[in-house]
Amino acid sequence: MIETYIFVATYFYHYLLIAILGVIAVIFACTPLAIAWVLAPKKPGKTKNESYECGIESKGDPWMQFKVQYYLYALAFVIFDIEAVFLYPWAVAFTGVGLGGFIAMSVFILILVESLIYLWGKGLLEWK
Amino acid sequence: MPWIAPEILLTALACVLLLVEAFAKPCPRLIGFVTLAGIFAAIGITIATPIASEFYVAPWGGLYCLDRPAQFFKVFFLVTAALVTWISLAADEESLPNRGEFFVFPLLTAAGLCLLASTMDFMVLFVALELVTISFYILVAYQRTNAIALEAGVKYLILGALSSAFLVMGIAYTFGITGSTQFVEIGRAIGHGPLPLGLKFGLLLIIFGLGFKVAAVPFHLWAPDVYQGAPTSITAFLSVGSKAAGFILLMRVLYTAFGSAAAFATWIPMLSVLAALSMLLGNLAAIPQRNLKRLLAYSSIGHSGFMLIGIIAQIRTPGLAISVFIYLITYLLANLAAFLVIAVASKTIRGEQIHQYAGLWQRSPVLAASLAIALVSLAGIPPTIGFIGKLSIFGAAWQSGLYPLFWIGVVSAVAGLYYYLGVVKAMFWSEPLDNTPIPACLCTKALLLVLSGLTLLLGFWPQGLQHLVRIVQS
Amino acid sequence: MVPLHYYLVVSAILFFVGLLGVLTRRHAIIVLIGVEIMLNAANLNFIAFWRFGPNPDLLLGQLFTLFSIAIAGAEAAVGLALVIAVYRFYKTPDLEKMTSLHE
Repeated sequence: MIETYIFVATYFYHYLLIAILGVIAVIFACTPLAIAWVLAPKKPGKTKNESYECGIESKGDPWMQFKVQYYLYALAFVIFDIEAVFLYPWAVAFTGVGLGGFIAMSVFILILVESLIYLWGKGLLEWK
Repeated sequence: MPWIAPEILLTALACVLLLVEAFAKPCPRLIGFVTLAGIFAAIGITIATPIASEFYVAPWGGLYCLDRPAQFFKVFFLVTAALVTWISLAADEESLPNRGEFFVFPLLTAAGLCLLASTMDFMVLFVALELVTISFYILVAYQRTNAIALEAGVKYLILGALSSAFLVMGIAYTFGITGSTQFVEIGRAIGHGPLPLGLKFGLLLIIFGLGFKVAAVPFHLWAPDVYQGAPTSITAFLSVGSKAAGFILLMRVLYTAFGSAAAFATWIPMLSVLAALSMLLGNLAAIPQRNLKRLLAYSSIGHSGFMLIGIIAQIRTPGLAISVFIYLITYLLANLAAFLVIAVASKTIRGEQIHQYAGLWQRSPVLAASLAIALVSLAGIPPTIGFIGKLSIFGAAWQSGLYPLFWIGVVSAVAGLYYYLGVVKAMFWSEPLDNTPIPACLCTKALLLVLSGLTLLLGFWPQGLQHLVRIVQS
Repeated sequence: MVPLHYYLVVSAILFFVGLLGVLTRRHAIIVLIGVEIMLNAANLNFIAFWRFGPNPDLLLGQLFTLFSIAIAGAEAAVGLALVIAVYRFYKTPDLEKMTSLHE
């Protein structure tokens, strides 16, 4: 019983270190802000309250809609996003699959390449 | 790997056609004919592939098998895919393939369906099922500027994805309790003991997922809307291909993986309830329908109920699952003929409302006669093959002592007569809205003649069907 | 070590959170997110069962999870494309506004 307790305690001890680190990081980031808020003089003006964007006045509504092309790129990204899910375990964990595995992965990559060529053929890679 | 050659052929053809379509931009009809040729080649390969053992061969460590049922279902799916491609070619220019791209998806769907026919492992099952389902999401919403098609697509997507999630959760519990994803291994792990609670839960979720595929009653909500909104050829594909896929999967999973007496005690009551509800609700809800595709959707829900009886009967009296095979053949012939007529007729009459089909006999005798034969066969009236199908299912129910299901089935079949014959009555004995004849090309007429001819011929001569089925059984 | 039951409980909670999202929300994207949460709950189950299973050397649970992730990605891609098409047509992602069916 006591062994289990010690085991669990040491197990959680490692996470405790991370938690302490997290708390310290938050304090570290918040302290200067708090000090500035306490010490700084508060004189709001019209110019001071404007949003600051690299010295240039910002134009338009920040809640504007994105062009639908962004979503098409996102969809294309999803296809290639999945690629690593298969390639990485094949390279690291599934070491015993040999030549058959190599051929299967090559076919997989070829199909992905095909989808890229298809996107190109459909003119989706051009930004209009 | 000669076993998996049809799937590889179909997938490779789809990949090549996709690139050819993107760059060379050939005539869509040409792509359609290449697709047809590819599917016929796959049928040839499937029939020519020898079956190594009387029971099943399971290469690749039991992931895949090619036994007689697998071969039967592969040919069934490929014939369906070929006819669906044909219907798409015969259908309206604006409603269907304005681009050759369309034909890639029937090919991919057919490949997925063929893989499903011989899966012996939940992993392969899931991947193949999703290949089929995702292709169907695209196909259903293919007319993406049409409000009805878009709505049908979104409904199918959300409910389909939901059912997939249930299925995967069920597989996860099954895997967790038995430690395997292979049907044979799961069956071995279950043994003869009682089912643990987790496994019962997993089985429930798996039946939920597969019940969605066959559109059995608590899980049928998608069917009427999706059948109505999808392009007619795709409705035909869904109603025949997707449904049959659900049945082969039910057989594989329930007979092989959950084949112990304790498992029977869990899933037989569930399936009995599904069957009874599907037969009653499908046939009764079809009666007030005014849209022909929606009517056929409800009727297909009813047919699922009839076929579920066959699945249950096999447990009481081994060998009776054959009634499901017979019923599927009758269902394929009648349903595809009906949808072919709808696809061709809606080019001229611009709609699928039943009152628009009034007096079809005077406008196109061939279409009217084919649709009438198909509907009479679906109703199960004697000189057609549909009667043989109903007879074998009801015979199986009686023989294995499923009397409540038998009587519910008989009542539902009688209720079914009303709406099927209502459409036939409208076509022959009502005045047409206008008298313009409905044109149909020679190929369509020939195909309709073959489908209707088989429906009648096998109805008069059931020995032919028996012979076919005996080959499957051996 | 965290026992198996904890994982199962978390996974069940995730599953029902996702299901609740699908059943109560009317925004198409949120509904899709709900389905993805349900799929990921199943993935968590697979990994937990594999880790605590009789033969963790077989990598079976991991393998299924990989396929499941890939398929969820494909499903999400098709789903998003469909939602974009719907949005272009209806000008709203609200599922209850789509009522052109029912004859």
